[in-house]
Amino acid sequence: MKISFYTPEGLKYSGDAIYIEVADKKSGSFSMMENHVPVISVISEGYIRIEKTEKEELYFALAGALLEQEKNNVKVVAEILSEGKTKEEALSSLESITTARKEENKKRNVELAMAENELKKQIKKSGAGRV
Amino acid sequence: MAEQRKIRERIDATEKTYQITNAMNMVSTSKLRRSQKTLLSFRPISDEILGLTRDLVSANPDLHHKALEDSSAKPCYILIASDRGLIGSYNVSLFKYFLDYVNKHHQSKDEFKVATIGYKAFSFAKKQGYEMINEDSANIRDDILFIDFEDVSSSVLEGYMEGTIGKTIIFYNSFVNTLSSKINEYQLLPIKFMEAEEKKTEFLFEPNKKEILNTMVNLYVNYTLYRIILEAKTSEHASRMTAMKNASDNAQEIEKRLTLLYNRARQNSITTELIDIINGSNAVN
Repeated sequence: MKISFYTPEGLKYSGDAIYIEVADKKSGSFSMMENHVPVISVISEGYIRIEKTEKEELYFALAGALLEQEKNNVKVVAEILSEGKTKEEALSSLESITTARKEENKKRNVELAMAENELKKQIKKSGAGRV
Repeated sequence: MAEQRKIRERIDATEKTYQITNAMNMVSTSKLRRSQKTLLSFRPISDEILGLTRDLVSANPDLHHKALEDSSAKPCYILIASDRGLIGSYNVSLFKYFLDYVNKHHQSKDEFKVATIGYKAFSFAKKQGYEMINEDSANIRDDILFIDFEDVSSSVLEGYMEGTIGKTIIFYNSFVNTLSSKINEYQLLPIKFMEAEEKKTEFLFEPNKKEILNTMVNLYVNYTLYRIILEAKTSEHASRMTAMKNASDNAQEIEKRLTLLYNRARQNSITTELIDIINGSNAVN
């Protein structure tokens, strides 16, 4: 089976899997293997576990996601996505991205604001309207 | 001398203004390119969400959701403007269009509610004294993510589901080309679909169709809003680019005229000094 993850920035991950587990906080979980019937699912908040081989697995914590599987091709579109070797790692990484973003939002655009003020000062000084 | 110094100061300030506006013009050009790329890569994703929601609803007429039904509650208008100025008429023309729309369709401000994205839209709505959905300004960053505006989208959807707000329309600047943009209205709620295409594959819905539809509606609102924000953002970069290009040209023009004034003043003072020297020399002779 082939699985691809997309976010608004584009393709984030693409690879093969022998087993896929989809878990949503609200609606529970289900799994897929090769030749699964075509399926559509949504994940408001949860994770996807991929077994690449019998020994190797990957976790993707995600929110606001849509999953579509047809002909052994799984396509996942998510609002936000985070990868980890364990479930905890993926989920905590997703949480820290969200928290950091919210913090950043409070401090943002300082450079632009400074440039804007500097520009206003210089325009006033140049007396552009009095030439 | 004092006059010359003053003109010199003005020339220096104009030069600095030119440097800033020129830098902003170049920054906007590169941001515009990036924004266009993001918009182009996001459109298929947004179309996919819209298409799946539409297919799900059209294939299952027994499925009902409040977001698909008309509402008679107060309409809600979502205004998408920029966070910062120096952008030409980008925000002003949007606000003017919105005021005309409101005056045409409503008798008073109490007949509708307003939600905003972008600091300029937030201050405009506050100043006008509109009934607001969001208490804080939702930033419209260049690298905007869903979490930046999720408070607005969830409040709007919850309001619609609870019946506190009705028909929801988004007002925004859409990108036409680098020199022009167009103000658009887009009906977000109730969700209206175009004619559905026939799907050949029979899908299994996990966990069930109703649950899927509930989440799909959330996704639809978020993804539609995100797409429109990207369009507005692209238009914003284009407007800033044009505005900064004009400002740079004007700064150069002013600098030329000021240099002329400066040279004239310098010539005057030299002439005066020469006259003084000649007069002094004549007096001695």
